[in-house]
Amino acid sequence: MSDFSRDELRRSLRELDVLQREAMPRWRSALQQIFGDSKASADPNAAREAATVGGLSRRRLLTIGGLSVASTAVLAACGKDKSADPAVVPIAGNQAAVGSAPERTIDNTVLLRTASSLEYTAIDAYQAAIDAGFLTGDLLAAARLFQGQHREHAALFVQTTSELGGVPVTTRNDVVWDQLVVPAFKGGTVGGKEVKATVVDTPSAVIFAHSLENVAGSTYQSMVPILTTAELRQTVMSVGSVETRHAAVLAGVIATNKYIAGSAAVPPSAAADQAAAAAPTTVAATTTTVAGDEAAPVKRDPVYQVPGPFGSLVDALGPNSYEYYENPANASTTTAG
Amino acid sequence: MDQSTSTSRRSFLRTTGAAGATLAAGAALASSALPGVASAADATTTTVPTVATIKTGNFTYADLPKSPTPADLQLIAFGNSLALAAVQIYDAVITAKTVEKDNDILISFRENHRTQAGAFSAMGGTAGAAVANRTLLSDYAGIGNASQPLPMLNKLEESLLATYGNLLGTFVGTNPAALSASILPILARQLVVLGQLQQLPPTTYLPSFDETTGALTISAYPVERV
Repeated sequence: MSDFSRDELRRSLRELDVLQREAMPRWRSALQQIFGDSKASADPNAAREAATVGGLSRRRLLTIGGLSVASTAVLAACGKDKSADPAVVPIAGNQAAVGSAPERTIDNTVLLRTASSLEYTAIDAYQAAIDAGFLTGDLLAAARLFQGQHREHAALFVQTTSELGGVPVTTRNDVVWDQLVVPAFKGGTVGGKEVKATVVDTPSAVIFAHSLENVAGSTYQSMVPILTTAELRQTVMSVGSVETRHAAVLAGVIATNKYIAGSAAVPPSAAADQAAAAAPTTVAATTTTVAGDEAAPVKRDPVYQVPGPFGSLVDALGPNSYEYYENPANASTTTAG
Repeated sequence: MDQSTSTSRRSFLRTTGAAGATLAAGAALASSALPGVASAADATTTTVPTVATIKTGNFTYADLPKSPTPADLQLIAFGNSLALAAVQIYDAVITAKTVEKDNDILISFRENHRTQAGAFSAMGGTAGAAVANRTLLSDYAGIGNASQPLPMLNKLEESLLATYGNLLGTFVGTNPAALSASILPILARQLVVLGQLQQLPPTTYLPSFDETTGALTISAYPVERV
């Protein structure tokens, strides 16, 4: 304290106090943006509880998680000193150059092209399961029925795309095939991680088909608010609800299934009888994801034929998996409905 | 039971697909020069005008009207009245206990219809409020005494599926359209379960397309307000 007078100390403290008072409103505002909605702001206890002691819904967690990164920038902006030298900000290496993603227009034709590509993906996926010998007997008959219906659906979407002046897609969706189907059947690298094949026998093939049908049904449902005409919405859902019928049938075959959430009832169908016969292998297939001694049981969520009062969008494909025109000049006039 | 006289979806597309594209092209052409003319052209079709777009990240979508129109509200009330009637019809079978001992499945289906009615009601507000559809209830008046009610429930679900599919093809607002679209997969799934309970051949509950044939109409099944 000898070389730092009390006056200097007081002066420094006053300056700090001023700086803090100036920064606090912005800090509070930043916190409100991150954690608070209007209700939470009105009830600070509830906000505190929600933000600290596990009252975090998944959505809230995502909100906070996403904004936590941004919050660093927000807080940095709370500082007063505009003359701060940018060079004091620590930088670890040069920022990697990131190419900008292409601008995409999602119109009716893009959605219908995506729909037909999904149908061809389903046709090919069933064929892969059939060729591998995973689907036999009643399951083979069901697979062939579903495959035939997917062909009808594809034809409808191809026809509708053409009628709207677009160029239809008559092949499978490469994104879905490469990222979803191939890794399931053969293993490979997904998102930089090595994955083993999950479709290895009859039960796992049924589980995969069930997932694929759910993806298709959810995707068509997700297209409804984007399609610009009521007729096209109707067309897409006339197929979408059939995909969910397929999913319901397959759910009835999966050994862990129930008719409905909360029910102990077991389906009496012939398909269920087949499931019972396959039950021992089902346990092995559904609880084992890696071979050998590393095998670890994986608890599978129950599969319901009727999972709730509304169709789910959880499995819907996002716009990164849509079938766009590489050359916008090929786009039809249907953008405007 | 009123049978919808509308043409099938595929024949509709065949006959109007090209015309729709032409109209859209015409409307787009007109909108570039005369916005008023474009509005008039749109008014003559069921095509939703999509002059504006919205952008999310790198993706651009048509900016469509979300809220229900006055005509949509009428149909929301209709959908609500049918769902409420379905609740009462299921109730009659559940009380009779002619299908299941513990009624797990039927109670679940009844509650699905109740929740769907609630969703219609919430979307339509007072304009969407309705009582259980009296005409539909009278169609199924004897179901509580029926020894085999499952075929009747099957018919009920098929009617509702066709009707909500029809509504989807009529709604202008994307919110009621999305609601209708979210109900269709569930009714379709319920039809699979009902078919399997009756041990029907799979082809009876696995059609290639869910058509709107057999859709109930508001004229034949009038809505009574609360």
